[in-house]
Amino acid sequence: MKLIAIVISVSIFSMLALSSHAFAAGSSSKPVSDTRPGVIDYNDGVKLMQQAKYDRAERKFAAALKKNPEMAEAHNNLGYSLRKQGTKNYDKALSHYNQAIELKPDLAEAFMYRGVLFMLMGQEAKALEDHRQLTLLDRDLADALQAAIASGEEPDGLDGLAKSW
Amino acid sequence: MTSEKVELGRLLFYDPRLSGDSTISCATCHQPEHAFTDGRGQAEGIGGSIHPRSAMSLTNVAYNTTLGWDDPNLTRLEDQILVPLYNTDPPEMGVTDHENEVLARFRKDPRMVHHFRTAFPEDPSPIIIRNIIYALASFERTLISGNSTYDRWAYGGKADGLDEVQRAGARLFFSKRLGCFRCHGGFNFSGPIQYEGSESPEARFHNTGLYDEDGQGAYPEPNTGLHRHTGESFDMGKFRAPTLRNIALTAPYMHDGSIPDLDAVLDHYGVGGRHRLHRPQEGNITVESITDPLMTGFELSEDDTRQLIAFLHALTDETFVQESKQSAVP
Repeated sequence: MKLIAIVISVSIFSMLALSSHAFAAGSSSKPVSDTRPGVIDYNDGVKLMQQAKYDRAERKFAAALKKNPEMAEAHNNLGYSLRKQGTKNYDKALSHYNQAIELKPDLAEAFMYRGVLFMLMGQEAKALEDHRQLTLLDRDLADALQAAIASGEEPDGLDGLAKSW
Repeated sequence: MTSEKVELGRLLFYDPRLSGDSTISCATCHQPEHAFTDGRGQAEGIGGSIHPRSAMSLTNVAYNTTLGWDDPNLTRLEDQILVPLYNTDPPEMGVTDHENEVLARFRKDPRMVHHFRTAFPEDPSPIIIRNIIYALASFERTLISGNSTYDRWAYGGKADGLDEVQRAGARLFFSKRLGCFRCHGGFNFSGPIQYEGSESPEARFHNTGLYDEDGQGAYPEPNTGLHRHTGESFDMGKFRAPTLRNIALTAPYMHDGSIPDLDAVLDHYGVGGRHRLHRPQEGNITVESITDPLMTGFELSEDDTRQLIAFLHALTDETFVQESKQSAVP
């Protein structure tokens, strides 16, 4: 019991210590003049994803990653685009969330939607572990994930997606 | 905030000498066994005076964006503490016009003199009202509750921490159909909170359809909620959503204690407010005018009700209560 109390205390005080940033900055695409490899495909993918055209978004994110394999945000959104196309894609989606987190361990959005995916896969303990990590990165997203895990319902909106790069 | 100030605050919190006639302490209305409420619908102050509202829980009070039931401008504990000390309508702790007597009691007590000096070492005359307030606020900020059954499930790595019934209740609580979490949200199961590094969230107040005195949604005076501070008719009956942590210990419920238990609370929300206000508009369309639009009502089976109540009980932090009781000053 005491150990648990310490864990909870640490968790709460970590919340105090860490800033709660707003959702991923900016929902608009980067200007076309951004010439970084893969950015045009990425931004096209974001637009398609926001229109719920997940199969086409998937192809755009995959193209972005071909040009820039280190783009954690593209892995994150590819994971989402795959997952929204059905349960057959869950394992593949998970793999992309894992890569996103490996490339960028502070990418809150990846913890958010990997947690949702774990919830949908019935792996509650792993979903809760992502929630715990998320409390240290983004309190608003953590609260949304908490509600999703507890209810078994997907969060409203697309706040868990990486929008800018 | 220092440990010495917290310790002094703890001693003062439980000390009736802090009231005008030495009969009432902070703990009279904020009792640890009731998660720092008093089990009464309306708090009782000095001389038996009855407060129009119930004593609020101090669980995690440090995180509240606003304090009290309905005051949008009461944002610092140091300011809130002045209310029970100095309120005269009705008198709560009755310090008004008795400040010198109160301070003299502590100045005569060598133990308290020592604690004041330790807490405020740079102050040549530390036994003053300002320091009492600082110490009380420091103590209240340590009233942190985060070790309930629910916490062990959500944060403690115990995925089986909730039993089947509690887990089903959590599913209902966080469901979009019931939407309880939309007002009692976040880790504190409350309205907006703030903490170091957070943005300053906008305070929120809700009319939950408790009263309709005049067919226009009026609440009985003086408990008109946010309206009594703003004078705006659309603020009638709006109150802050308090934390649900330890809620099973804080009956009766609502700002005036007018709902006796959790079953009845669920009934109230189930019907979308016992005096849900519908105001007919042109075209025979009925719309809500004052009652919060989130108060849409819902149907609960007997099992649902049992599960939700089990979940609310899972928000009780026995460690917090036990440790608070043990640290109480007799």
